[in-house]
Formats: sequence, C-alpha cells, structure tokens
Amino acid sequence: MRQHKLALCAKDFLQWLPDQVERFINKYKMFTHSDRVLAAVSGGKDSLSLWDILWRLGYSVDGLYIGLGIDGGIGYSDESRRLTEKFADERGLRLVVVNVPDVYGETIPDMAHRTRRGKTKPCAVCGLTKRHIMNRIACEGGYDVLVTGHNLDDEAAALFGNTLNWATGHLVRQWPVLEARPPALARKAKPLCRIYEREMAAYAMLRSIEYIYDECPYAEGSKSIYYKELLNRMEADRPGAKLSFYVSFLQAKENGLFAPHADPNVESLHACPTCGQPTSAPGECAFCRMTLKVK
Amino acid sequence: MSVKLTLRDKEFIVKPGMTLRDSLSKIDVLPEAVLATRQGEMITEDEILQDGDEIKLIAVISGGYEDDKTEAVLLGINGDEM
Repeated sequence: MRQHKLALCAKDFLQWLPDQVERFINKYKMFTHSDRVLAAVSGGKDSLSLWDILWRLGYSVDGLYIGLGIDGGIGYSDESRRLTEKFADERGLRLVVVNVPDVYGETIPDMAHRTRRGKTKPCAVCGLTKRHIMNRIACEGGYDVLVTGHNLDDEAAALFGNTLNWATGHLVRQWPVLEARPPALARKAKPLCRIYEREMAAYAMLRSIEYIYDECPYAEGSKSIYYKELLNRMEADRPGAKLSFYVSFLQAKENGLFAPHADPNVESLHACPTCGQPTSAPGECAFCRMTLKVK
Repeated sequence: MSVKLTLRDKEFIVKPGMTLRDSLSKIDVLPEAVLATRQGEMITEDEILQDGDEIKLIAVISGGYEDDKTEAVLLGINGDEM
C-alpha cells in the first residue's frame, strides 16, 4: 500500500483494515454499537466486505438486497442475489430482499425503457429506485442508520465529477454521514469512504468472500469508471493522490469552504402524498411519478 | 522465456525478470486497477516475475451507477434533481 507507505502480511491486513473502518466510523460519528444498522448489499466486493467487517466488529447489522431484474446475458441479478443469500446464510445474518419486478411489476431495464429518464441507459432509473427502496426499508424497519459500500475511489470520483461541473449542491452534501431529516429521510453513512477500492478487493479475496465479479452490464463506458481511471493515472504517479484529494476536501468543508445556502435543497423537504417519502418539491416524488407512468 | 498475464478474457505475454509493476506498465494496465495472483496467492507490485509464471489479474474497479449524473449517488433525498 504505497499510499500509506505500509506493507502488511495477510493476517495483519485482515486486522488492520477493519480497525481503519472502525476508526472512521468513530471519527465521523457514523453510528455506535447500540444502533441498529441496515447495510445495502449488492453482491459486490465492497458491500459484502462492509457487511462482513461490521459483523466482525460486533455491530448489529442486517442486510438489504434489491433485485433489479438485470440479466445482460449473464444472469447478473440472479447471480448477485444468490451470492448475497449465500453470504448471509453462512454467517447467520438477516437479509431483507426486495425484488423490484415482484413489487413494481417491471424490471429496471423495462422501467427505464418506458420512461424519459432511462432512454439511453437505465442507471438513473436504477439509482432513483434503489434510493427509494433503501430509504423506505430503513424507515419502516426502524433502523438507526443505512450504510452503503461506497469506497474512497467512489467518493473521489464523485468529488471529481462534482468539481468539474461545480455542482455546489452536491458538494455541500458530500460527507461521510448524511443526517436524518423530516419527513422520513433515513440517516446514511459510508464507513468505507476512506478505504481504497483495491484494498477492499484485497480484503474480499483474503477473506474468501465470494462476490459477483462481472460488472453490471450497463456500467461499460460510464462516467464514474472514466473518472476512476483518470484518478488512478494520477495515483500511479503520485501514491496517495486520491486520498489527499478527498481528505483535503473534507478538511476544507470543516473549515467552512461551503456555505449551507449553496445547497438548493437546504429548504425543508415535503412528504410525497402517495408514498410518504421525502421529496424536494410539493407533490408526488420522482419515484412515484415514474412508477405511475409505468402503471 | 515468458510470463503470461490474464485479465478477464485477455492474455498478455511479457519477458521474465521484470517486477509486476513494470510488467503492468508494459501492457498498459494501471496497478491501482488490479490485484495480481500467482497460483491463488496475492503478489505485490515489487515481485519479480519468473519464466513460466502465470499471473491472474483481478479487476477491482466497479461503477457505472447514475451514468448521467455521477454525483447523484450522494443525494440523500428522493428528489427531482436527476
């Protein structure tokens, strides 16, 4: 790990990485051992490893898997669900499964095909659907916090994209924890936000965690992967560049770089009259508008 | 005298005697984007590759969410910004 000027054997690495995750959970006051945690798990290396780490650290953590109905010629969703259920069974962990085609009558690609949001790719529809379901399950289940497997590379790539576009609203909100807000917006945290993606892959491999290796069929050519490649070119020349980029941003925010009014959504949220979940404007939320169109 | 590296369905042949890092540079693969294993054991970038080595490269980059707005993953709300 050139970025940390550190070389560890497998045994020490498997101790070091969870220690780091716990350090950041505490540093950013994400949650405590008395909280009920819901981990959003996709069957990928980051979310399954996060669930494994939190379980080993002794947190009370259930999993949430959202079946998207994506096939892509490789049975992508079926395989990711199988691996997630296997992971939970092996550890005796509770897994909540929400299968989008069963609940909403359409797969994500079909839903995207029918709506304006997903004409070119279903990623926007997928993101909207996942956020809606994650928030609903976290609130209905009475969880104190919803955690996701976003790693440092995810955060640095998002920061890079937001900076290129000077997306001030998104920059204001980018932080390891997002507090709960009325009405019914769950608290969210990203315990892996300072862990390199490569370190997470190494953890999954050394722990023999079986995860879905195939990329989502719709991921090819995405901006997020492009930004990651650019950042990794910098990292190759200057180890630690990604970490420095992200941590310097967090420090700048702590020092007041962004005024709260730079966030256009700083005003209070509204309850969707159909589902009761929060939305930034009065009336039905984007998810209900989308699914009503489908119906 | 050769070393074989595989990454998904691609195969690359490099000369032995180089470090893994130099070998990756030869085939234009970023070290940050992969983990390397030899006979199932992870190896470091400083490892010198020997004649006959077969190295499996495991891609570690994932993504693709919210393609039209990468930053939307950060939104906490079920909003209309997308």
